[in-house]
Formats: sequence, C-alpha cells, structure tokens
Amino acid sequence: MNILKEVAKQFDVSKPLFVAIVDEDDGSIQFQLKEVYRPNPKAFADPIAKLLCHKYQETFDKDLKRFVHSFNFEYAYKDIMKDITLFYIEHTNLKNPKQSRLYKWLDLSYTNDMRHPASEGFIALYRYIHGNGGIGSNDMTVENVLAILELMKEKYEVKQEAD
Amino acid sequence: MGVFDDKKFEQLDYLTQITETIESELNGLLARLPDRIEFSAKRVGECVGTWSHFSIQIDSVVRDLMSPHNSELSYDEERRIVNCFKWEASPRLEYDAGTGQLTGKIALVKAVATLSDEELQAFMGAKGIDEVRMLNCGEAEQWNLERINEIIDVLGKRDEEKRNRSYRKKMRCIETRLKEIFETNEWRIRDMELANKVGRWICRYIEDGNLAALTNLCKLKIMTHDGNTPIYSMEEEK
Repeated sequence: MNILKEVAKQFDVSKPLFVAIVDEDDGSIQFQLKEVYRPNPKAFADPIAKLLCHKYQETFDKDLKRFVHSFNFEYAYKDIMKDITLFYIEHTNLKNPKQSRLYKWLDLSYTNDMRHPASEGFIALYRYIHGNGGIGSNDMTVENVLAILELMKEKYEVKQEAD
Repeated sequence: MGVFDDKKFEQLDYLTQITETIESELNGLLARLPDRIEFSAKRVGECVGTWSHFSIQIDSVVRDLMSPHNSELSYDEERRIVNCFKWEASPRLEYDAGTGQLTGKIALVKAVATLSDEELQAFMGAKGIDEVRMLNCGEAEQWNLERINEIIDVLGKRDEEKRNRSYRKKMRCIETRLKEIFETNEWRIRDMELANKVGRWICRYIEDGNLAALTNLCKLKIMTHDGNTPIYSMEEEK
C-alpha cells in the first residue's frame, strides 16, 4: 500500500508539549497536548490526502520521543472501495445493479482487501473520480469509470480464476 | 496482674487516657508516608502514554507509597488515606516529552497529618464486620445454631432473634448489632486492631467452634462492664 503511505508522509504531527491541569474532583493531574495537529482536508488538492485527513491518527513513540502517524490504511482502502461501488450503483443503467457481476466482484471481500493486485488501480480510479467532480461527475467521466471498472473486472477476475 | 487488665491503657499518658484517643494503625501508616514528594521530569516522562493525553492519578501514587508497608487496608480505609494527599502544582506546568523538560513544579503533599477520632470511629471493627458478612451461609448447615445463639447472647439486646430458625437472619442480626456497638462506641473499645478482632472471633467460633475465640469475646464483654475506662487491649487466648 505504498501509494497511501506516500500520501500520508505529507502530514505533519503534533509537537509533544503537554500542559497540566489539576483535577480536584478525581485527584488527578491531567496532561493534554498544548496544540493538537489536525489536518485540514481543504488544504490538500489530492483526493486521497483529503480522505486520509479523516483517518488521521498519531501516537507517541517513546523511543523516538515524538508523535508518529498511525493511520489505519485498511479502513481508508475500504472507504475507497465503498466509494467506487456507490459510484457504480449510482451511474450504471442497470435496473438492479446489485445483481450485476461487476457489483458482485466489487463486493467480494478479496476485492476489498488492500493486498488485491488491482488495489493501486482502484486508488487511481478513486483519484480520477474525485478529481472530476466525485459522485456527480459529468457523463464523460462516468463512461470512463464504468469502462475502466469493466476492464479491471475482466482482467483480474480472469486472473483470479486462472490462479 | 489480673486477667482483665488493660496493659496498653496503663502505659498511655494521662492526656490520652482522659481523651480516650483511638489507637489506629491507619494513623501510624499515615505518619510513615512522606509529607511531600516532588515529581521530577523523569517521573512525569514515565507516565506518558501513546495518546495525546495522560494523567497521574493520586490514588495510584499513594498506593505505591503504601505498598512497602504491607498494610492490609479495606477500600474505604485506602480512600481515606488517599484523601489526605493533594497535588501542589505551579500555575503554569508544562512537560515537553521531546526534550524531557518540565516547566514548573509538581508535588504530592500530605494535607492531613492525622485522622481525627470521629473519622476513625467509622472504621472501628469494620474489617471484622466484613468477615461476618462474608461468612458463607451456604455452609450454614454445618454450623451449630446453638453457637450462633450464644454469640447473640454475648452481644446482647437481641434476645428475640434467638427464636428465629433462619441462619441468614441470625447472621444479619449479629452484623447489625456489631455495627451498632461500634457506631455508638457502646463498648468503648479504643483500639482499631482489637475492634477488628471482635468480628473475627465471632466467625471462628461459629465456623469451627473455636473456644479460644469465644473466651476472648466473653473476656472483652466482661471488661466493658467496668464502664469507667476505655479498652485498648486485653490478654488474648490463642
């Protein structure tokens, strides 16, 4: 999942400076980060970076003595797949899209796995969809996306069967 | 020396004798705990977790302080000791986990040096009463009803309960009576350890018919008949 990891490198982390408050009620001293870094989706042009903004997590690494990213790329990838599937349902002309072979292939747990050989292709497709208006894209984009999905299915579904 | 002599009372100074101050290991423990503990940057650093916040709990710090003293405190006793401490921190307190620097000072200080008799009275006999409460009535069939009635007799004021056939109700009656004795200071026991033994003796006699336990209870009861002096100790049968 190198693409997602590469994109994640753009994000900053919080400075590990904690301020303390004495809580008289429960007799504890609470240390909170003075400034918490929260990435702003509007600050990024890349749709993948925008998506990762919502998945941003950081943890303190005691050895490195600083905060490090701790994204859950699995969830991010699942969101990408969910988004592509919704796009397909929205724009396909079929009466019952959930009965189509393409939908069933997209819905497979293997297809939704980050290790799927087409994963980088799906990420690129997500970028393409969101770089051209998202779910409300123009007809040209819709046609292209549906065609790409069909081709991907043919290629990888066959490959899977051959395996 | 008589059988009913209170050696501890005789050794007390005049002032303690007339004020009838409660002797308690709780105050002894409190005195042994440090008056002030400064928290270094290193110690704060040890508490940093993986998230954007962390806390230092007063009870866990005090519990650590108490652990070398091997004190077997009940939950309420432990809470009372913990409440004797408070944080003293600079208004601006910051910790930089990157450099390990602490700006400002933080210390745990003992705000209460000794527990008052009113506070200690609430803990008198409590551990023994807990043991009475915890006696497993599921094994009650093996107990002798007669022994329970004897205890009710010694404790006094609950004669009507002797006619009751329920083990559970009889034990509840003993527990209530013990609470009453200690809450009202009826027996004038002024030593926490001795007070806690009352419930333990009762349990030992009811469970195993331990005669030494019954003797101790009776001896203590007789000492209460004097009425003039508080009770700090007694010669115990082993």
